[in-house]
Amino acid sequence: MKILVADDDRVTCRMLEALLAEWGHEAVGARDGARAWEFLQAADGPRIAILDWLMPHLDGLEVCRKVRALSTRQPPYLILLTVKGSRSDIVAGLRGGADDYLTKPFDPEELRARLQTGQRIVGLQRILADQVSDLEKALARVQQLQGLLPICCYCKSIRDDQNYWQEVESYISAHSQARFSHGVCPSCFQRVVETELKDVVHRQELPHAGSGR
Amino acid sequence: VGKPVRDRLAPAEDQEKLVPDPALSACVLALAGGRFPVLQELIQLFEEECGEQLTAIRQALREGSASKLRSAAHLLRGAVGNFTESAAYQSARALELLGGNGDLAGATAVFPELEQELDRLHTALGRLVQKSGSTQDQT
Repeated sequence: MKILVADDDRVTCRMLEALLAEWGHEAVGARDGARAWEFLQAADGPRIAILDWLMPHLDGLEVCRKVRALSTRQPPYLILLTVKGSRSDIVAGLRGGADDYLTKPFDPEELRARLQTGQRIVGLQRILADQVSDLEKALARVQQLQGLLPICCYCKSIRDDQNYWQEVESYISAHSQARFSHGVCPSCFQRVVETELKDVVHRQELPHAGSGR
Repeated sequence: VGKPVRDRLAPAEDQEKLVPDPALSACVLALAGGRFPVLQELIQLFEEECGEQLTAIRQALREGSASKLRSAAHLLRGAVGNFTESAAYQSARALELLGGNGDLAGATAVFPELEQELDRLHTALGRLVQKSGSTQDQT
């Protein structure tokens, strides 16, 4: 997984990059908060970030706040990794938008375990975002059948968005998951079918009547 | 015979060996296991960083600038923290706090201790590089 490492200390940055590579991740390095923010805004940007708090241009907490202000369905998982370790710092960091907080010096196995938690959350967010997207598509199809539909008073054809008149069946089939099987209702059977049958029988009787002359 | 016997009888060389190496961090030990070139690169970076920040601290003490002292000690502490949490880290932290409090006299007193602890750390890292290098040669 692509993981952002943002730290102005080049030794820490390189050490994190080496550890992440050891664990099979792709590390992306940033030496200040502004660069980190650029990476996190990119469409194909890293889904997990390890951020130092005290950095030039934009500090780690500001980066967290900016990320949380973005309206995205798949926000990155943010871990603050800092020497600031007081209780008030931790509270401020988490309230500022960090998902997790780790103090320096850090234990590599603890960081690795927390990254696994991050990967799990990112994976769940992706599934959720995909499901929401599917639901929105379904809802959009349902909404196409709502509203005012222009329909012909005589043949019952419907005028679509392209100003074409379509039969009711084809219009509904095109705008929904519905499909039609054809039958005859009792009222139409009585009104149409029985009448037609009577006509047929009547027509069959007429030649006999004529042949007698 | 009064105690401690060993200290009184030990020759000077053995006395040096009695001082244990500072405990190295789990991060360094993790990398020492299988990534020798990375370890060497990190130590190289660390020594450069140490040199820069020690110079900055000396200058801050000469100029009497507590804010510069704090800033340099903070960067040094961050770099040292990658390798150890023992005395060198604690000395850098103390210096950072003293800088933050504007206590330059206290910082001047602590600084030689920091230099001494950093020397010990450098020695320990040198030994680790040697050990990791020879292990890699054998494999």
